[in-house]
Amino acid sequence: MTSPSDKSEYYSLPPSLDRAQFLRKLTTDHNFVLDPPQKKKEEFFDTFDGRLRSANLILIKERASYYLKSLSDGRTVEALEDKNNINPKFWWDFPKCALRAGIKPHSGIRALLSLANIERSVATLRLLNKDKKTVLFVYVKALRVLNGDNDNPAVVVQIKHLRGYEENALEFKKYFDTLGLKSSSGDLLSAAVSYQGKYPLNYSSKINVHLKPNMKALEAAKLIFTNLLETMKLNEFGIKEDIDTEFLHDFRVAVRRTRSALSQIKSVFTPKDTDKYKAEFSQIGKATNLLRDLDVYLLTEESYKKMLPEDIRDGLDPLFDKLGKQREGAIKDCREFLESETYKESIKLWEEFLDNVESNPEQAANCDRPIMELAKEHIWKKYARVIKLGRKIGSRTPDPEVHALRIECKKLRYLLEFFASLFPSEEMKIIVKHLKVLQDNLGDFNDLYVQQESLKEFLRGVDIGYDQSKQKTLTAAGGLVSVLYQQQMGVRKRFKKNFEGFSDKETTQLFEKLFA
Amino acid sequence: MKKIAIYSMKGGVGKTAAAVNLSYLAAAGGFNTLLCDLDPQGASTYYFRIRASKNFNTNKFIKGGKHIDKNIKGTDFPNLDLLPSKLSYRNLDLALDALKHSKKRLKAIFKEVEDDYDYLFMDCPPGISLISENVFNAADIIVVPLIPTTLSELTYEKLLKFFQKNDINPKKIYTFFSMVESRKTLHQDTMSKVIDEGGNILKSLIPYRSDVEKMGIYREPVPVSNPHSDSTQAYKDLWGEIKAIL
Repeated sequence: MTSPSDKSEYYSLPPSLDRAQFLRKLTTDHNFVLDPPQKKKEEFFDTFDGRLRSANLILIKERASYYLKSLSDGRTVEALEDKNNINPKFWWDFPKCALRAGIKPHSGIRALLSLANIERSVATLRLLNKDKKTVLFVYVKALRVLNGDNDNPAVVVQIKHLRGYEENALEFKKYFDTLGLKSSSGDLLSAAVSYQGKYPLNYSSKINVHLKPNMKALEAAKLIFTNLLETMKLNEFGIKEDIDTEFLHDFRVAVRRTRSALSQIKSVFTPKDTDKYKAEFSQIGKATNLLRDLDVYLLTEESYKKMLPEDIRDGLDPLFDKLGKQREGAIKDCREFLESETYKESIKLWEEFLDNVESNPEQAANCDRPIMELAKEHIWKKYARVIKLGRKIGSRTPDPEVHALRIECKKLRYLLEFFASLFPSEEMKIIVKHLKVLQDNLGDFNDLYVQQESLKEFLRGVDIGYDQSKQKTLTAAGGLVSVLYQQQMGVRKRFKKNFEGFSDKETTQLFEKLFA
Repeated sequence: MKKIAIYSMKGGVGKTAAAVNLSYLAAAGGFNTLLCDLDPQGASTYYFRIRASKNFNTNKFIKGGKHIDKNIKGTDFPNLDLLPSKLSYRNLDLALDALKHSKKRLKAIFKEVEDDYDYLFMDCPPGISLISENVFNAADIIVVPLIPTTLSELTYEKLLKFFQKNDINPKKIYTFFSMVESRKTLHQDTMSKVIDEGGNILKSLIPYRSDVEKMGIYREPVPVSNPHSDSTQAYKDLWGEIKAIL
């Protein structure tokens, strides 16, 4: 809540004026009282993909307190005094409080990383009237990133109006103009987080390429593959350090997209090269399969338990204990793989291949065609295939056919993502929205099927004796199988409606307009 | 917006000191707070070094709306604003009497700032008049400072009777002991007697201290001029109790 008395304006200093000169000037030209500058050390936190920043928030630790602050105006949204030195990594590591509730919807399953240590110095100047009443606050704030590349502090000047004393602020703004101060967009916090710290600040798992319709297919493909490779590399450290599950997830999505692009954007590379790298990326995918599967299971623990009556919930503990132990092995294997010569060599080869592909004398059939033409062709074909398969699915269709549709939808989704920059973004959003609903339906169906199968597999491994605790585990796991089966049937029932949303007149017309 | 009246029929009981210090503490806790000085003597206004605009007067105050908005002033402290009083407020009773719904006017006036603040404190003039009745109707709770002497006790009883007679909920009244000198047996005895009679008695005592007396010299809330004193602690405790009730 912004108090009516808290209206602020922000300015940046001109290059000709440094902070000390500016402070001297203010105190000689005007009747200001300068309160001693206060220095604070602050540690900034956010998730790797900047989820707090995209919600205009930042988490700050100062001494033994945490503050969730608004990036644009620096206001404290929530605060927590950390009496027990909790050293939190995820939102659930905080005790139940408003700060935790404020972080939870944004950070989700991602870890909060320490982005930078910052020294903030604030000098407060108060303009007094004849009653010695403050009529205007001027804050001169400086932020310096400790151990960063840039040692120059960022400086922002804030004028805080006091309600009922606006004329003083107006007069003062004129004075600022004569000094050459430029109005700035907001509080220093946003400036501070734009400092390059330990991690990149614009990370996104989304494909970020800008293709032009007339671009040669080979050039466009190179841009897409390079972007995907970049994403893989950025996530490696988080997997190795086991920071949270999403590093591996984003890494694998980039691997899958690479494989999908290799198969789907046909004949831009020679068949020999295409097959070679498809095999390389298939190996990388396989080496990380087990860890991802275990991550997914372990993430379901809470929701699984909630499906069961309270008294048998702990019956699932042996299952999750077993998965947890397996994960210890899997993370070790995965780490070893990422550090292995095999992996490093694959990446190096791929990188060199992409660097030199345009000068390769052996050129494939489609490499000189305009990318727009290829994009339309591929998307349209894949779309027709999805519609054809989807129409065949009824309540009794065997699971493998549903699975095949899921794969085709995924391929279509990837194509739409690769080529998104070629088409109007508003219309692409509508198409992706409908496709996503359909994909979620098919994904849920598949997940529920796989989960039932692995629970049954687990049950087969339980040594049936007369042990009470084993009885409980059997009951819980068995109960869960039936709940999951019920849910799976529900998902199948909703398929028709979800498919209609994708194949309706509006979406069909959009597809025709953009890609036919 | 929660509305808290600091009221006493008797003057000189530490009413303004309570209004200034409690509103300061509410604001310091991060809540947007408005202190409305209703006393024509304007002690709260003076303590915050504020002067009302020349054009502001009783008529504009009871008209409300943009006149309120225009005349609120920011104090030197974050989140704390003040609606200053004017000497012309001495006619507030007469001006209110000339209006329809004359007992509920204040409640309507404060609707204007309902969305801007978390807490509204009213520093009320002593006595029992139409303005007091307006305050009783507008406030969520009425906090009454009571010096533990026989005379104060009698005025407190009168106040309770007034509430019963005029059909105002006496449960809105919360009393705290003010300017307490714990060495005085009279104070001790009166406090026990008042507590025995029941009603809402707040546990925190405000002791008789010179730093509270000197607020007029420093012209600052006690938690600012003397942050570690026991008066500051007492006001903090008192605000904690009131906040929990609201």
